[in-house]
Amino acid sequence: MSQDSVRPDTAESPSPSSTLTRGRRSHSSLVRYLARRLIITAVLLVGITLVTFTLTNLVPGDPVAAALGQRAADDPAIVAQFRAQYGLDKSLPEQYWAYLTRLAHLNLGTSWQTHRPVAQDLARAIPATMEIALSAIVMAIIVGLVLGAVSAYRRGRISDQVLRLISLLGISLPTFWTAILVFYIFYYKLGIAPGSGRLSPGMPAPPHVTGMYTLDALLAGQGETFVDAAAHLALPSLVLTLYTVGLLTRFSRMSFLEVLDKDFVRAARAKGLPGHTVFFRYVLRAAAIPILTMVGLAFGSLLSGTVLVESIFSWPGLGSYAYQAASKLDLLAVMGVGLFVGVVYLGINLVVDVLYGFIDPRVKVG
Amino acid sequence: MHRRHIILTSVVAAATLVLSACSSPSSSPTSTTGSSSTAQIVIDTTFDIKTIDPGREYEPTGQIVVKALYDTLLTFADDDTTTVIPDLATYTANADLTQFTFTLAPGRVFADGSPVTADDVVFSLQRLEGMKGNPSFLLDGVTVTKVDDSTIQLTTTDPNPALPATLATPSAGIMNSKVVKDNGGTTDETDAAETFLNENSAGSGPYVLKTMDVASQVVLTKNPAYNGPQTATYDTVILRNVEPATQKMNVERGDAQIALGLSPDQVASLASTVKVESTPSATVVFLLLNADPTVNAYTADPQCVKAIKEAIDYPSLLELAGAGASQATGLVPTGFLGALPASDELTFDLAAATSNAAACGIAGQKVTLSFPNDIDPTGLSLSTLAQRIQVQLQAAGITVDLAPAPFATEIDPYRTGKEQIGLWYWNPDYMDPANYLAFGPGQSVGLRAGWQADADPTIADLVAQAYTTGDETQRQTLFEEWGKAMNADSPFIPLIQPGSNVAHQPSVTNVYYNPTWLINVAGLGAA
Amino acid sequence: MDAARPKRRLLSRVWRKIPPEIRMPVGAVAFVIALAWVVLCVVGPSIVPYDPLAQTLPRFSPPSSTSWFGTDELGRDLFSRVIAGARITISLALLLVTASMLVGSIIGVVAGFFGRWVDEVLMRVTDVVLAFPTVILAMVTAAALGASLFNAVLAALIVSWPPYARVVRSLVLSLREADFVSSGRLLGFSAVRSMRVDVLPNIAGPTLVMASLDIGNAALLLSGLSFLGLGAKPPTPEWGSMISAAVVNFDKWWLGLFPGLAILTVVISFNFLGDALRDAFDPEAGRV
Repeated sequence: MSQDSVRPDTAESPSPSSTLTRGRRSHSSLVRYLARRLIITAVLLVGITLVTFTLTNLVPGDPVAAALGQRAADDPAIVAQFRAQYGLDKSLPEQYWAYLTRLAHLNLGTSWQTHRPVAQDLARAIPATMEIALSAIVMAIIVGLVLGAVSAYRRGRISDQVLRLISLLGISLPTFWTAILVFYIFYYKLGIAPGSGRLSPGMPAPPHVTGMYTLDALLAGQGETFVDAAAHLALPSLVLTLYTVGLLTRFSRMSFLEVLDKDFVRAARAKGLPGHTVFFRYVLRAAAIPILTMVGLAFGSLLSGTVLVESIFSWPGLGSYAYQAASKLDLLAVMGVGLFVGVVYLGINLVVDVLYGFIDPRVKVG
Repeated sequence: MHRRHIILTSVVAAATLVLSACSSPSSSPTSTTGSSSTAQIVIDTTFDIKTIDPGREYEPTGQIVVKALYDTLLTFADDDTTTVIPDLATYTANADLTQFTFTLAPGRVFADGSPVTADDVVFSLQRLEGMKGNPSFLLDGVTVTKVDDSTIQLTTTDPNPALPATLATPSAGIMNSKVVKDNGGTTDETDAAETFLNENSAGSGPYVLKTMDVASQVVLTKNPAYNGPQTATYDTVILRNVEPATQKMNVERGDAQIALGLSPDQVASLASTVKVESTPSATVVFLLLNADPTVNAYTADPQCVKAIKEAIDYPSLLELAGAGASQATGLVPTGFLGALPASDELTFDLAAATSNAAACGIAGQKVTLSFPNDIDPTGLSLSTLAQRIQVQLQAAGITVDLAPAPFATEIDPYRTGKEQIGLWYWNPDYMDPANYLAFGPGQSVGLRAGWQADADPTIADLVAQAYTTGDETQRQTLFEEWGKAMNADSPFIPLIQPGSNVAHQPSVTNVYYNPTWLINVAGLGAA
Repeated sequence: MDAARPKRRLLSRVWRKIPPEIRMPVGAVAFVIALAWVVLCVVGPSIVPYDPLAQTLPRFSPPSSTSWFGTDELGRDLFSRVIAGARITISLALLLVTASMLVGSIIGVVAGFFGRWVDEVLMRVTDVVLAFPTVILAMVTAAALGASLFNAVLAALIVSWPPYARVVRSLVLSLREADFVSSGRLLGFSAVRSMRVDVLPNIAGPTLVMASLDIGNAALLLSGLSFLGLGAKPPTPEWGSMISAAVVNFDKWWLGLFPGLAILTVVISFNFLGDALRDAFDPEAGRV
C-alpha cells in the first residue's frame, strides 16, 4: 500500500516539486520563489480539502445515522440537534465554506466520533505515528545507504546480487502480512517482544514534551520507561523499516553507480585518493540529492502506510485514526488527516528543494 | 524470557506474602503480570468509545466505564440479570405503572464527599432526557420531579413496566449536579459539560477516572469515598483498546487479565491456562426480509419468506458461533421474560424450502444480502455467517449476492428500510422484553423491514397490549404469544443468540457478563 | 529510446542484460514463478482439487495430504482458494497498471505537449493527488463507491496515475526540444501528427518499463485494500481478504501464511522481471 505511492523507478524523474525549481534562480529571487511555493502549497491544501469533502459526501450513507446510536437516530429531535450542532443542516457549499473559514483560523472542527476537536485528536495520534515513522526512516537511511554503497562498489559480484535480492524482497513484502508474521513469531511464539500498545499496561506515560514516548522518557531521564517504550516500538518500526530499507538500498545503489561513473570520481580515484575519502567527499555528496528526494518521498508514504501496521499492533497513531475516521464517515477527521499528511508532504518537498542548494553548489550558482 | 518473567514475578509475589510487607504502591507495573496482586487489573477490549458523559454515551465500552464511575438508582446483581435491586434508592410504583417513587438510601456520597441528594437525581435524569444525546430516548415520556430532599417521583404518560430496568442502565447514572453545572452542565441542548466529563468523573461509583484516551486506554482508580454496597478489589483498572487477535495473545500470556472481545473460534482454541465464562448473551442475530414489494418483490412474498426460513440450516450456522451460543428461539433472547422455549424455534426443511422457493418464483432470481462488516456482535463475524447463509440458500435454489459495507455506510439503508435482505443483530437497550416490541409491524425496527402497521393487525394488537400490561404472568403469556406469531409470520428470522465469552486469568474471580454493561469492574475479585 | 527497435529481439536482449550470476539460478526461478502464476491464472480454476467456494470440509483443519494448505473458517479448501485467487489478483493488477498508464500518459502528454496553463493546471492536480495520503484517498474512494473489486481498482487508479503523468510529461518536454521533433515541426507537421509520429513511439518504451515495475505495487495496493475490507467481497477468494480473515485466527498459522506467500511470490517475481526488463531496455539504468 504505502509502497504504491513511492516508485523507486519514478523517483529518478523530477520530484513533484522540482518542476518548480527548473530554470535558473539567483539568491535574490529565492524569496520570490519561496513565496510562490507557499501560495501553491496553500492552493494544493485547499485542493486536498475539496477532494476529501466531495468524496466523503459522495458516500451513500448518512453520517448522522453512523454517529448516533440506532435508537437515537430514530428520534427526529436528537437528529435535528446533532445536525444543528455540527452544521449539517446547511447546504453542502455552505458547509464547505464554513470549514474553510474555520480552517483560516486554524480550527479543524470537532470530530463526530470522538466528540473532541480534530486538532486535539491529531495532536495525540501524530507523535505516536511519528515515533514509528522517524525511527523507521532513520534505520532505513543508515542500513539502506550502507547496503546501497556496498552493492554499488561490488557491482556484479555475489554480494551485490544477494543485496539486490534482499532489497527486492523488502519492497515486495505486503506490510500487513509481515506485521502479523513478526508479531506472531516474536511476541507469541518466542516471547522476546512485548505485547501491543506503546507501553506496558500500568506504565505511566513520560511527561509530555514531544509526545514520542522514547524521546520524552530520555528527556525526563526515565530509563525504565525508555526501555519499555523502545521495546514496544521495535516491531512496528521493524516492519516499516524492512520496506523502506529495500527502497533506499535499491535507490542509493542506483545513484551511487551513476556517480561512480562520473569523470570527477574516476579522476579522484585515478589520483589515488583513499577510497573512503573519495566516497565521502565526492560520491556521497553527489548522490545525496536524488537520495534525499527519495527519503522525502519514502517518509511521506511511511506516514500513510502506517494504517496497515498500526491496527495489528494496537498503536494509537494517525493510521488507525484515519482508518476509523474513514470507515465511520467522520468527515472532519478525514480532512484533518489529509491536510496534515499534505502539509508534511509538501513541507518535505520544500525542505528537500532548499537543501539542494546546500548540498549541490551548482544549484546555488545556477 | 517469558518463563523467567513469571518465575521472577512469582518470587516477588511470594516474598511479598512471606514478609507480609504492605503492598507498596511503587511496585513495578510489570510485577502484577500473572500474579494474584490486587494492585491493578488489565482488561483488553476493542474500543467503541466516544464519550464517558453518562448522558451521552451509548457504546459498550463507554457503558463499562460509566458503570464503574456512576451509581444508578436501581441496578442488577452481578449474577442475575432479571431482578432489579436497589442501589442509590428503593422504589415503589402505583398499580398503573405510571408513577414511580424513589427514596434515596441515606448517607451515600459522591467522590468529593458531598452527599447524593434528590436535586442531583433530578438534574441527572432531566439532563439525560433533555440534552438530546444518544441515550435520551431511554426516558421518553418521563417526567422527573423532586418531592423532598430524599424523594423523587417519576411520572410516565403511558404505563411503563420497563422503567425500573431502564433506570439501571449506566446512562441513567447519577452525577454530582453542582460539579457538572460548574463545568457547563445544563439539562437541555445547551449543555457543555461533556469535555469536562471526559476528563473527570463526577459520580458516586466505586471508581474514579484517572485518565481517558478514546484511542488507547482508560484508567480508573478506586474511589476512597465510596460507601455503597459494592467492594472493589482492584486499586487500578486499566481498560485497553486491543485488536481481538492481540487480545488472545495478551490474555494467554498474562499481559492482560481479562479479554472481552474474543471470537468464538479464538475461545475454542484458548490455552488451558485461561478460564472462560461462556454465557448466552442477550444479543440476537437475525435476518430481515424486506416486506416492501417496491424494494424486492420476492422478499415481500410470504411464501418466499417461508422458503427462506426453511432453507436455513440452523444447527450448521450454530457451528460457527461457538461456545455459549444457541439457536435464537425467537427475537426475545433467553434470560428475558417471555422468551420462547426451544420447541418453538424455527426448523430446517430443505425439501419444503426448495418447493416453496420454486413456487414463489424466487428460485433462479438474485437477491442481495447486506450486512455491516466492521462490527462483530460478541466476536461473531457477520461476514462468516453471511457466507454460510449464502451457501445454504443456494442449496434451496435461492441465489444471494453478498453486499458487505462498513457499519457507518450500511446503517442508513437499514434504518430507512432499503435492504432486500439484511443480516443484523439487536442488543437490548435495557433488560426488559418491551425493548423487542420494536420489531412489531409499524414499530421502529419493523419499518426497517418495510413492515407497515396494517400489514399484520393480529401482531400489531399483541404489541399494543404487551406495551401496557403490567402484570407479570399476563405479560409473560402475551410476550410468548407475540413471539410465536413473530416466528411464524414476521419478516424477521431469528438466527443465533451468540455466546458471550469473557476470557480471564484464573487469578480473577467473580467474572460475570452483563448484557448492558458487559462487565462490572467493581464486582471482580481476586483468587 | 529503443522502443522503435523490433520487438522480437526484446526477450533475448532482456536475457543477455541480466547479470550472469543471477541469470542462472535466481533469475530462472523468478521467471518460472512468474510464469507459473500466469499459467495458474488461466488454468487454475479448472485444476483445483475442490470448489473454492464449497463449505464441505471440516473447519480449521491443518495442512494435510487431502488439503495441502488446510481449510479455513468455513471449511473451504485453502489450496483451491489460493490458486483461484491468482486470477483475481494478477488480472486486476494488470488492469490497474494498464489503466494507470493510459490515464497518466494521456495527462502527461497533454500537459507536456500543450504546456503553459494546461500544463500548470494538470500538474497542480497531479500534485494534489500526490500530496494526498495514498491509503486514505483510496479508502475514502472505496467507501464512497462501495466495496467491490472493480471499485477497488477505480480507487487505486485515482492514486496510481500521477507518477506516469509526471514521467511522460518530462519525456514529452525533453522530446519537444529534440532535433527530430523540431525539424518535423519545421517541415510543417501538425501538432497531432508530430505527437503521433515522433513523440508517442518514443515515450512508449520507458512507460512500459515503468508499468512492468509497477505490477507488483499494484498487486500490493489491491490486496491491501481488500485486507481493509474495501476490495473483494466475500466469498471471493482474494488473497488480501483471506489474510484479513486470518488475523483473528492467527494461531491457525496456515490461514494467513499461504495467501501471504502467494502475494509475496507474485510481487517479487514480477518486480524481478520488471527490473530485468528495465536493465535490458534502458542503457542508462542498465548498469543498475
